Amino acid sequence: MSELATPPDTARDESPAVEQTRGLWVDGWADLRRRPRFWIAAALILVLLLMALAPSLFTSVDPTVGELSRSRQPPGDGAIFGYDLQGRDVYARTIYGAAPSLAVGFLATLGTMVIGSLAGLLAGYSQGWADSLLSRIGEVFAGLPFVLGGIVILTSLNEPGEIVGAQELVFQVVLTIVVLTWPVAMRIMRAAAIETAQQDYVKAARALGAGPFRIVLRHILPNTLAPVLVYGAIQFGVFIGAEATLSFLGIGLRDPVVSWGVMIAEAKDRVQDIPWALFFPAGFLVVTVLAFVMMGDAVRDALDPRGR
Amino acid sequence: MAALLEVEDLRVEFGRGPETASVLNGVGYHVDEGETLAVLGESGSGKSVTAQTVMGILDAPPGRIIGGSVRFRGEELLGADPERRRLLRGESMAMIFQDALSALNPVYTVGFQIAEQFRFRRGMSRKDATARAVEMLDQVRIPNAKQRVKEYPHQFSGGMRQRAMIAMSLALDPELLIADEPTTALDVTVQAQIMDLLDELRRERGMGLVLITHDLGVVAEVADRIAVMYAGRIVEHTDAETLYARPGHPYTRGLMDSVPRVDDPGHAAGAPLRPIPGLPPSLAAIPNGCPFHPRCAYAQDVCVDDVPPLRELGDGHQAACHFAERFVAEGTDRPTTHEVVSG
Amino acid sequence: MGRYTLRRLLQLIPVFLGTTFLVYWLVWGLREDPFAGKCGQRECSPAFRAALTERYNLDDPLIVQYLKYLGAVLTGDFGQTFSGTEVSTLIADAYPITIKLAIVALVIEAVIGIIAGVVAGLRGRGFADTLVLVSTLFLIALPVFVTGLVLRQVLGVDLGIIRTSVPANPSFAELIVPGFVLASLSMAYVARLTRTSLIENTRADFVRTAVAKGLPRRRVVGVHMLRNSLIPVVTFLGTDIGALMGGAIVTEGVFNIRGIGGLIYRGLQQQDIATVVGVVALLVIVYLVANLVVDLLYAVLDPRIRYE
Repeated sequence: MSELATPPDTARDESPAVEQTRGLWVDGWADLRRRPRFWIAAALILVLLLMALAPSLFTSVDPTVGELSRSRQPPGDGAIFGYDLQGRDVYARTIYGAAPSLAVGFLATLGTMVIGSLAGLLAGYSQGWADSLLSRIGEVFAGLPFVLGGIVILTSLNEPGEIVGAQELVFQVVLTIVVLTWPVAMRIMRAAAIETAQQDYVKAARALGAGPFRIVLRHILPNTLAPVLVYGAIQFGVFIGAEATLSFLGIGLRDPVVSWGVMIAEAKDRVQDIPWALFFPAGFLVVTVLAFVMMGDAVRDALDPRGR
Repeated sequence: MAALLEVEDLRVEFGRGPETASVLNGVGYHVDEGETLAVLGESGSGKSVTAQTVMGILDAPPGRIIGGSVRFRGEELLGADPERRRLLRGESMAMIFQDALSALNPVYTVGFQIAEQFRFRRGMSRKDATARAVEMLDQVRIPNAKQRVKEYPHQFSGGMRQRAMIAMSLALDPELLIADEPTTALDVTVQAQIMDLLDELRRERGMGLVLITHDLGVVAEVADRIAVMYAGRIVEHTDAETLYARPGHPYTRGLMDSVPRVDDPGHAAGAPLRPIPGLPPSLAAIPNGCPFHPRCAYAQDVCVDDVPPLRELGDGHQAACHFAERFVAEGTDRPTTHEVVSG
Repeated sequence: MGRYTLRRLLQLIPVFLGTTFLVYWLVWGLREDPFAGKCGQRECSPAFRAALTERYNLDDPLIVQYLKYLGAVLTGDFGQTFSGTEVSTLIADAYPITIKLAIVALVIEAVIGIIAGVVAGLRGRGFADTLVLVSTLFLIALPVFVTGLVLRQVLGVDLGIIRTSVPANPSFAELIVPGFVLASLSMAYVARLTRTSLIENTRADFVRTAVAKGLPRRRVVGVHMLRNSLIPVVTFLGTDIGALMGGAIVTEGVFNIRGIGGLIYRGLQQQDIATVVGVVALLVIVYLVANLVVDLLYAVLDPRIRYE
């Protein structure tokens, strides 16, 4: 049936691994550029990055200053998103909320991918006792459902009533997410590595006496990067949602940190009075997660033509 | 008597826009009852696409039929009611595929897949249909058919799987069988068995057989007539004997030179094979004139400018080459492509 | 098959031990003083301390405590809360509600997800396909608590169709909206998985064979395409049962459902460590067994897979 699958191209593809992967990335980029989804996502992410890195471009109001006299004022002159219960400017808080949310997303993605990929490469390439050990350890962590595990870890890290600094809170949330999700990245990397290690060109490289480092770096890694990167792009968004969920439960970030999850958690019980205090951070959160999931989706479709 | 199957000037394209590939560019052949037509050509020449168009199972999109005619016992099939075409499939014409492992559904037993046709085309009960499936497996000489009918495709060996595929295609007693490279995926010893079986079944049932292959050796033994395809066209069409002795197209001659032959003194053991230089053209950019001219050692200016039509050379021998008569006269003992190129 | 099942069961043991020990260590071992905040503002009385230390074997090294606890759990004794209630009673009260909610969610995600995926996958590019892709994108991007809050607000408060707080012993009908919220993410995954799998199979050789046999279209699609395409979907749903049974902490929180998720959440907030460890141990078992069942189910669905 090869005639149907690739009608114009009858030449056999016997190019070496590196050529193939370069082709994959070049083709993928050409494909991406044609997708409106990719450009929408890229534009949104750019704006969000700007908000996170330079919030003062968007607002000159201090997000932590509350004047009780303005409490619960609806959106209008001066504050387009209105004021919350403590009289703080919801717009300014929403803008400043981008930085911690994105920081958690970025750090958690980085941590999960690095740890998961290294473990996956090691497991997939060695395939011996190291594989068994890593797989079992992964199962131990994956055996905990995410929210449940998150609650257990975060409540255990801090004594009840303990006051924790903003940076330490971010670190704890990132640590929690990474601890609970690295096995997934490991599984993806491991599967890709096992598949690649069985390819003839890898066997050939080994037969020609290439060392394990060279084989992993030159032959296996380039061919396994795509699925892990796609996973990472989608998880970036999912992790931002995870941070918000943990904060919503009151165990993730909390005051004085300004993040969307914190704002939603504060506003959730007063939806009747001050719906805007919930609506705006939730809206920004959803759009942000959407942008990253869309980006990951577009990248996956571009790199893996099977889906379409 | 009308021919069983007539294909005329069939044109099929794949894709759209600047990347449109012209996969079939006016293919025509016919098959009579009880006759074997071999369709010979490299992969990408359009053999399978022609067969799929005949069967009405072309993937569209990306495929698109833009012209021509397919007639079964005189009845035009292109543009016919899809339900009518469905009823012809299996009943009047059937097809077997190259890779029986992927052509059989992995999650159902072989018996289920054969019995399915008796149940849904003949309205038989599950029990009767299974009994018929066992008979079919017997007919294609699968030992212990009663047991094997309950097994899954992956539990069969390659040759047995292809036999099961044949049994399935013959279930509804078709008048025409299209075999798309039926032996390519098999071991050489098994290949001969499968070809013998096909030939025998054809004779017993008086079926017409279209045998798609790229293997000259397979063709020589069983084919009554041979159609050679190149870049979506028939470039030569004649009986097996003539084709071997006096090919009228340099492509056909090149094909023969590129396989070892024991019976030919010019190809004695140790003598080098002579592959055809170059690659088949991209179907999105078929050369002007004769599509074979960039690879042809005898190409002249006329070959670059004019498409040679498929011409009658006498006795039903047809070839699409401006110099067909010359090649026919020379026969296969004359200088070959390779010697012309190097000398 | 029997030997494979046995081997997998044996493999579960280290994972179960690892996960439960991890949790045990997190909640008991990480704390300097397990009684901090237990007795309001005051220090706990020595008698109370002594009693609890005795009950939870706190004088033993952590590993011994854990093993003693594990021994008790294996005989069905999940221990007692600080206030002396049997943890197993709490579980027995809460678990039926969680199972009900899980069933509702599973039915919703399977039915809606598969139908949406089939429609999108069969029709090819077009309105239905785009609709499914875009709506699943939104579902993936929406954190569960946002979906929950929005639906509770709109359906419960604004329209008054549902009660904002689910009663103590809810009927299936009362769990439909929470079940939908809980199922939303998985529903999107099911729809996408079905769609992708179906599209891959549309071009499969065996589907072409079925068409070539002259079978009616309904049979080609229903028997040859769907059956094969649903194998990965069914395995996904199976894995999800494990996750759903693990409780829906967020959903149960939003709709005030008194299930297992709420039990854990309250246990952590009240620092009732015994409850947490007991419930988590149970959930881990459920989760692991569900995954094992999925593996075995896979072999039943796909005859090519024979575990030895």
